[in-house]
Amino acid sequence: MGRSRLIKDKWQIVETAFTLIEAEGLENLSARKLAKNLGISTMTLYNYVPNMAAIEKEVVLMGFSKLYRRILDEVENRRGELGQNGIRSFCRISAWEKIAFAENYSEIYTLMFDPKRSALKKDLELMPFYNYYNKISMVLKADDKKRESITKSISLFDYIINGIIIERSKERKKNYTEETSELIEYALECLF
Amino acid sequence: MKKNVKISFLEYLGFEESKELNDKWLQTTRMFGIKNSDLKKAMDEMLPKYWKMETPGVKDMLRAYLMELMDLTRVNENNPDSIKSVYGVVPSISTSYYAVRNAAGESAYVGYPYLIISTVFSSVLFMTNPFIGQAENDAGISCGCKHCGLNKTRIGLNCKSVIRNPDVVWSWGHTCDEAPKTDEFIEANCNSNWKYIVTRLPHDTHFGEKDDEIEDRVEYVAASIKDGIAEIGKIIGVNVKDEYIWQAIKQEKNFMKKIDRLNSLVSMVGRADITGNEISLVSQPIHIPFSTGLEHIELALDKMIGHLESICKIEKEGKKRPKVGCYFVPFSVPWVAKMFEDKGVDLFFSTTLSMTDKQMENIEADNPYKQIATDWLKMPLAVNGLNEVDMICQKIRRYKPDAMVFGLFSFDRWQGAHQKLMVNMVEKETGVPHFYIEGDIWDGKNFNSSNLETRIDSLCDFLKMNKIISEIEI
Repeated sequence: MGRSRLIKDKWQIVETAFTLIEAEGLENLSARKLAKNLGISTMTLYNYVPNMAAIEKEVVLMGFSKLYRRILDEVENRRGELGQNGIRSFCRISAWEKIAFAENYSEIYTLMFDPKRSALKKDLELMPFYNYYNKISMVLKADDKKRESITKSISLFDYIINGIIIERSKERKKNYTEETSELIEYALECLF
Repeated sequence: MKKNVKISFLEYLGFEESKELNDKWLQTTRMFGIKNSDLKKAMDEMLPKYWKMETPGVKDMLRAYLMELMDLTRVNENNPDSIKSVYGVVPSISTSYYAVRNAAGESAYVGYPYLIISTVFSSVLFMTNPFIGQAENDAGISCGCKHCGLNKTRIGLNCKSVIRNPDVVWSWGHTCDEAPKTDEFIEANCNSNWKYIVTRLPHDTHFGEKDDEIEDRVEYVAASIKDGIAEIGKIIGVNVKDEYIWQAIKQEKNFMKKIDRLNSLVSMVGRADITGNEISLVSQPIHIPFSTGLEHIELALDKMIGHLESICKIEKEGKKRPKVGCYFVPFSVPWVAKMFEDKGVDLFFSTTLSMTDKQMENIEADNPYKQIATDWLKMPLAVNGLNEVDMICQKIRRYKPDAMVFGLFSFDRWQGAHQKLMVNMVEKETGVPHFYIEGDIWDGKNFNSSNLETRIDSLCDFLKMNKIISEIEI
């Protein structure tokens, strides 16, 4: 048997795992398959990462990084829309970017928000991503009561968007209809 | 004639040329296996990349650290009877060492060789600390075990007899109790004549107590420090009189106030060219004594303060770059602060190397041991979790960071967990967003830039988003 090829760094493993999960689903990801795709042995793989759960965490982190970068880019592009009723506009932009992300990376999205993986939500490094909207509302220039109310509304809105995305992914529906758009607008109107 | 790289390195850092200094430096490079290629790389590439070499005070600060490393040659080249040596280990209250140093004068080396060696390797020369590997190879300390890189460095140095064994080590325990355990290991297993003294905290503090306000605890710690100083004095043949202790206390208070001034100035300016790396490296003598004294590092500090004051005078109100406080000490991993900086965010104060008002209070005690004990019990590293949370909150309110980063302490199961427990408490109390990053500030093997890049990217994106959200009219 030839010597195992060395990989550049741990990040190469995470990127390969990310691609494999998106293409074949998390249930089909194994250490052996990942190692094979990287051109290394399973033993070498475990020199870089302690276990498969650690890889899952890194993949989730990469997913969040891509998702929130996407939202930030769009918010920056459409900053002019945040002038009046800015929070509502921000939430609208976030919702559609989240939907677009979930369309591109449906398997990764499912992994990120899978309710069965509650341990990920308690991970201190990932916590800010799961509490993203709470964290960014901390800086709102409003009195405590108002800020608390807006934070709750943003969180509730995010639950609704996640629900819509997960539901549609279960139904394997690809395109979002006018009905979805109406639901989002209705939620925005009720909450903000 | 082509200049010797070793001498060019000294010139680059602004040392004034002298034969005595050159000889000392050549001896130091031989002692630690520092090659010309290492120095050339540091000069040409790493130092200008990670340090703001042209900012007033920065070269002075790096020189102070190099002088401290070179001072170890004094220990090696002299007869153990003519130069006594007292080595310290973090965490500790440096006043106690300065008191001994003040009393001993030139007859003793009183310093923190392990931390200095570690710091110079990682932050000045940008070399892998070889002594960590030596502890793993020669003493069987396993690579993956949760063990502080500093204590591994101590074992590695001892295995290779790089520096002379000290006349005495002064260890302080702490929650991890790693330093005294390392002393015990060296003494019991490495065939060394290893004398050490441990001045432990009582280890009975309750969650939320104000450690320095409990009279019994202060009395107990004061008595332990008195014993420690007396014992060390006996070993090195020096009488540490009260006047030397008071002198050390005054020096330390003065230094602390200057560090506070530095942090306050950085918090005020829009774009500081003194950030996390510089602030933490210049602040380190709060915890570790310099055998060459405080004056060299204090000169660097004064220049930095002067520079920032002049910026404040001319700077108009304008856009401020986001600034992030941290728990760890950025100088140990200079590329982390640089990564933040390249993404438009500046690291600044470290909670472990900055002060609360209480720490800067004037001298109150009637005897110096009690004063050191009180000061030690006001330090974040010496207190219970909730007390430290309260201290961190005070610093956040004082310096007003846009966010805080915790973490990079996974080398130690106790210290690592201690931090994790505080993150959410401090965030809730202050309303400032907090983030946590896994990693090891001492040992690059367990931690590298590719692991961290996504995390820092995301954190900086968070701050950019926060900025936008904060401008929304409600």
